[in-house]
Amino acid sequence: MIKNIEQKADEALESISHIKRADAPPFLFGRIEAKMQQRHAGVWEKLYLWLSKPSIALAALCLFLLVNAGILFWTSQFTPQDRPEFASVDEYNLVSSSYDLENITP
Amino acid sequence: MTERELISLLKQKDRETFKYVVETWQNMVYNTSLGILQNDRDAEDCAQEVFVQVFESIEKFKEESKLSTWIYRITVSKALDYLRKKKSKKRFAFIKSLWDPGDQAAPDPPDFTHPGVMLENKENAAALFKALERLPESQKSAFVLNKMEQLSYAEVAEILNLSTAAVDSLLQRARQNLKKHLKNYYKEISNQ
Repeated sequence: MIKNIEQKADEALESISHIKRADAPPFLFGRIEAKMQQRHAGVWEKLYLWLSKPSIALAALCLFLLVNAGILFWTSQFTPQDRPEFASVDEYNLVSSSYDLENITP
Repeated sequence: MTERELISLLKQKDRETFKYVVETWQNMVYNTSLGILQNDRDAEDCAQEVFVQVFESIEKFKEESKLSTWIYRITVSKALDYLRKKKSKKRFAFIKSLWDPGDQAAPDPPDFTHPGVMLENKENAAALFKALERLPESQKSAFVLNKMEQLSYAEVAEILNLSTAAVDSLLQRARQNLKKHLKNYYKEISNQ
């Protein structure tokens, strides 16, 4: 059995004696050029390339819709009384007779 | 075109010359990367990086050796870098999986089969490549260059910047270690 294992190990060592060189995948030059262009792209180009990925564009769109929905929901929670910008003029006594601008005495 | 003219055009970043260089040496680069990395996707990535480096660093080439020798050096260096990064990623994933049991590390890929191995030798070759993974970097590089690229000891020595005697010693140790790992492997199989 030991001789058999020894023999198998020797056979394995010789198994790549007549190995043929593997062929590189096709269009390697094209891929290298694309890699180099991406590497030398400016910041805005890189941002565009990143945003144009379908997964990123979809995620950005979902986030945009979510934020908009959130804002719409939040603003719809308030009644007019809850909103200071719609408070009645009377609450602040903003009547013109209170302010006689022409007859202000120092 | 002589090699000198080729290098001169490459230094001028001539696209057609670069295309010629890629087409001439792509199989050499890919095969060497494949022998070290034992994964066709990684070998392709590595091959791309090698040629990008060739294009970007050609000005630094001092023409003290052949262009092919320089390209071989870059290939071995890039492939070993790739291997180190991959091992550290694997280690990190394993440590992460200890903290988060739900996050299991990726399972080991199936045994590597080189496309250039004859059919009757595929099983033995798979065992040999498994053993090759366990060799130290210097022995692995020397073995791949000598056995898979069919380079002479002198050529391997020039690429690895060693003496021929050092290459001979590396290959002898590589062979001894491979035999040891293979015997253990076949012993385990016979005990199952």
